Amino acid sequence: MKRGVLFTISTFLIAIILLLLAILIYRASLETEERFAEGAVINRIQDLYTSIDESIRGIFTTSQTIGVEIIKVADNTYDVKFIDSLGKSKDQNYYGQDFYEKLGEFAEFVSQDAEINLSVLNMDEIIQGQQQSDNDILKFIIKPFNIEYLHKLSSGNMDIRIRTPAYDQIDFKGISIETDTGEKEVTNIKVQPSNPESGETSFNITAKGSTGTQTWNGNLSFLDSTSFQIETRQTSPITINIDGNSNTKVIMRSTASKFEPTVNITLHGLVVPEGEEIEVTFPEDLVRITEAEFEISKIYTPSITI
Amino acid sequence: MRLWKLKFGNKSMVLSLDAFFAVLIFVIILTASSLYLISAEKDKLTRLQLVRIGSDITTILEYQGLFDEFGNLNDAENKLNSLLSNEFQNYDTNIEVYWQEWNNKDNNVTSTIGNPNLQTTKKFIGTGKRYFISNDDSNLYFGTIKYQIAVK
Repeated sequence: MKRGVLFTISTFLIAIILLLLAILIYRASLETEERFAEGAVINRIQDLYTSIDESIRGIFTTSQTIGVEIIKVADNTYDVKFIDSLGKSKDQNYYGQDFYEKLGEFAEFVSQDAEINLSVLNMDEIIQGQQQSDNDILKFIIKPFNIEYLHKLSSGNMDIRIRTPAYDQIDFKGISIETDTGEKEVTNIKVQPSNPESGETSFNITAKGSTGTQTWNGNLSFLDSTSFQIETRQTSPITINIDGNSNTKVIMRSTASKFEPTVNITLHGLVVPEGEEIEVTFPEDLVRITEAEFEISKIYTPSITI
Repeated sequence: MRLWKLKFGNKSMVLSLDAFFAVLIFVIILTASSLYLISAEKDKLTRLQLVRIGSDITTILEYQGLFDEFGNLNDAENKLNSLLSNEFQNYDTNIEVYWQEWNNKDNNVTSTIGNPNLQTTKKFIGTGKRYFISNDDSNLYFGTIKYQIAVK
């Protein structure tokens, strides 16, 4: 009789354990079902995000505002080239209008879909902020060095500036500046002081004009200040200032009205530490992507990689 | 007689046997449901993989610039046929591409390549969507690629 009771109790215990296990398995299977659904949606969202990212980069490369190119010159060593112009385009109310307008239209195009919403952030600030001299305009950051390439309004002129994280942190081996003044004749490149202190950073200027090309090549210390003037006939010169005491290392400016020379600036010899990758990020917090299914919202900064 | 007595004379034993059989049936049901769940999971993974393959095919076509020309999918169709007869032999797909001029919504066109009857099949169809931009004749176009894919 006692043995029978023991057997019964044992059997019931096993049954309860099995029941608990069954409940656990059932719950796990439900969770797996949810995970699968989430995985499928995440996969879909990732596809959409990737294609939006590529499209934004495509809009950027097809716009006339500015171009960026990363060139591999050796293992872990890169040059970064910015294709730009001095001064605001005659056809544009604000700098980069062409790019931002296309981006705005693209955001509207994407947002027609109930699945995803794309909005360009800070558009009003971008437009109105360009009238304020303290704002950085269309700023690109070369990572991992945190070198900034930006535009800034100064006395009504749109400067091109290169800023390093610290005044004595020069991660590039050299800078080349190529200007094309089109129909204007380049007469001379003037340097101040006339015999600048020699240093470790190569600095090359190529100024192409209607009748020929003027060049200046040398090695400078970017901890000393040097200024250059690309003199053109019948118009104000283009100035390039290297500020040794500031982290704004290069300031390039044209004060002439209705004069928009093209400017290609290349930073040479950026050595990327092992395990890191070079990338040039777009202006920060450019767009917001909101996904409807999970209500995931992401503020997004596109970037260019090699 | 003794066996008879054992069967019907010992209540606890009867109860135990009853419980034992109940557990046995339960375990059988549990095993069967687990096997079903496992086979269902395999099926789901295959479906997820199917969607990835659809995405891969459209990415190949897009990266080769075959959607760049406004409304023209001739090259894309040739490449798709080549992919489906070589690398992706077991799959059937249908790709719908929509272009719209960036600043003129009325200038738009939709073209389709692949198997247009894919939706009428009773098989599982994986679907996906991508955005793209194309720069045709110095005109910028925004576009979407919608793909459907099924195992042949």
